[in-house]
Amino acid sequence: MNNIKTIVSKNSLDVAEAIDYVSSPSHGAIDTFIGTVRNNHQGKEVTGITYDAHKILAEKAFQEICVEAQGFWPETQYYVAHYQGELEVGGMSIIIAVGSPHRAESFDACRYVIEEIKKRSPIWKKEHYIDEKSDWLPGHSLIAEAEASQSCCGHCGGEASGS
Amino acid sequence: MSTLVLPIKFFGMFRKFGKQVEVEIPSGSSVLEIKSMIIQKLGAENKDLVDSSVLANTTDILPDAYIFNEVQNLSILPPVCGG
Repeated sequence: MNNIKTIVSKNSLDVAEAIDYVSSPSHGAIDTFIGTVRNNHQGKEVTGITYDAHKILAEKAFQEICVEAQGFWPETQYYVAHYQGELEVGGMSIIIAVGSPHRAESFDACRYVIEEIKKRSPIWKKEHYIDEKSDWLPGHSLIAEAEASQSCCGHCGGEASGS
Repeated sequence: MSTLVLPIKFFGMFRKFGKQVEVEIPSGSSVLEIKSMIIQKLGAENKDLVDSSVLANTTDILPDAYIFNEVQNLSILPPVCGG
């Protein structure tokens, strides 16, 4: 039990579940971040966003990021859920809740988790516009993650090799 | 030398090409060589997209030097923008 729960789901996200998960008698603070679909982007009127995700690797990335955050801010507890599918304007795409003994570490850890998720989690957005056109948004390459991967090269017969 | 047929699932910007592509490679090929084959299949105009993407199996993102000696289910992951 590492006090981290991560979910990529096609079901609506649940703020109460997030807060409940990170609540503890020893915690004096819970910080939450909720990402929602905005009705505009770079001058275009947005009607919705489709979120595509590699569920297994996204949940794994969330776990790794939260474990890192626990290293920086001990005694913190994490709930991270990301929606997969299409949302209209105002829909909740992500909930991050961090519980901690004091407020400073929950603010800092919550910010760390969302910023790292944006750079490192295999999730993609397709924006839908008022003129019925759609665009996949550009993002951060995962090449640095690949080179830092724990996967063996495949030559040496390690666990993750292709032989 | 034996050959492998690897299915590669598409995500994000690659969805416009369908659900997946299959590449046939000699056993012992690397991630970099597979990415070159994907560029051949999708067209040179998609080279920048493929070059900025990574390959993953069902559990890990794979480094460019990773070698394939057996069939694995792969995905190609373009630059990400979650949250």
